[in-house]
Amino acid sequence: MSTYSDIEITETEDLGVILHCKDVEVADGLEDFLTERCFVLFNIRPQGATVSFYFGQASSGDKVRQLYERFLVDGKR
Amino acid sequence: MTALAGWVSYPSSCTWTATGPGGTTTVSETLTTTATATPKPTINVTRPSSLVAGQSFTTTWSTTDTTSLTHVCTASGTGYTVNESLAVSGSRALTAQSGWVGYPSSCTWTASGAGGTSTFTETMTTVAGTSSSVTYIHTDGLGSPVARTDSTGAVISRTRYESYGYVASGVQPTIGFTGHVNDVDTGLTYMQQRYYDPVAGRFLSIDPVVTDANSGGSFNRYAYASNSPYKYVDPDGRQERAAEAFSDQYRKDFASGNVRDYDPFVVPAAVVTGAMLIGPPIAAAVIAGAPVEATVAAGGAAAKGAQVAETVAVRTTQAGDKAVRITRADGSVKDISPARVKEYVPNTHPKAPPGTLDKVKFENPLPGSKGYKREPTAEELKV
Repeated sequence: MSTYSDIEITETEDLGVILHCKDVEVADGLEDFLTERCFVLFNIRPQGATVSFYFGQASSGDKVRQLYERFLVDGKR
Repeated sequence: MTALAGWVSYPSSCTWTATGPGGTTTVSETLTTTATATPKPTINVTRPSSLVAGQSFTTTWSTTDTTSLTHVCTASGTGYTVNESLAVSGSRALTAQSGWVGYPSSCTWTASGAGGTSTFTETMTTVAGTSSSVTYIHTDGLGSPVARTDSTGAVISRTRYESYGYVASGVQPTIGFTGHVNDVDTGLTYMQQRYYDPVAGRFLSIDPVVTDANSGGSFNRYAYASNSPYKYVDPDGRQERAAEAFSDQYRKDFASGNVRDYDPFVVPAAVVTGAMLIGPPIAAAVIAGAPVEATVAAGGAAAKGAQVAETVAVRTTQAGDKAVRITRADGSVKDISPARVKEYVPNTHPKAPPGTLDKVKFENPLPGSKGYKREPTAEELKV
């Protein structure tokens, strides 16, 4: 499990890698970044102020964390 | 014929001789030419004779037949003197200083030219400026001013209104109930199209808007705000409007994402109360960055006991705009901001994690969105 200020990345055997984002606006930007600039497929699940991104078993926590770090660096450009 | 300047100092002698059958006659005359007198300089100064400390003033001057201009000002009782050469015409702005108060000054303008020298003397006094103060007016949810504070935040005065606008206690405001002019002499409220009596809770004249033949609205031509003075206001004496749209508090709440709708027939009372008063639940949610949610009943019916049709969450985007996320009863989601709309539908794959959504791809998407964003419609922007 990896923890940042806004997100938490978990892995489960059934669902694979899940990124939980606790800020709706950050999640909105991350969703756009992943879709428009990284061509990453995922399912999304909003739950109140938390938005979860389901990447499935074809991904890894490290890979998702790297994507998130890329988003932090240049995702808002 | 024009006498020329070169004739000056050269007297001329002229002899006229006329000859005829009777003989010859001769007449002699002498002419002298004198120089034209050179005009003396003139000075014209425009400046207020009484100055106010802290306020700016403009001095404008002009001269004629002047080659040089001096300006000497002496402040009485201080020994302070200004002696300066100025252009023959011009203007300048200065601000009267508080130190000038009590020391009248005398100024002499001296213009010199070929025609001689002219002087113009003026006196000036400076009075202390009035000190300014700032008063902040605080309104309630209807737009009625209920308190006034000074720049330190101390309350100067308060006004309390009864439900229909009668001033129950506190100062009689000039701008009173729901932001309309309060006529203190008559006790009436001037609502532009009509005068309103806050004691009776009725207008003094009939509504210029006729009764709605379908709904029966405005059937009572003297009624105020459909007899719901907490829910509606009347901006100009013609037609009631939802109060929130005219309240400063609403604008502040809306700007901070605190509200979606004040309509008590749509939004649960708890949300309305919390938003109007910025109570702890709403304020805490905003501080935490979480969207404010309100449950909206189907068909706009009263929320209590009605089937829940959708949940609405309002938030402020990083760009400072308002965004609304509407979750429908079937689980689909529409996310609206002024810049774009995104939609989601439940993921129906049998192996999909419960509650997950798929993004909807649009036929006319925004460029660069890979098909997942579109322009909001006018109706959506209204939401």
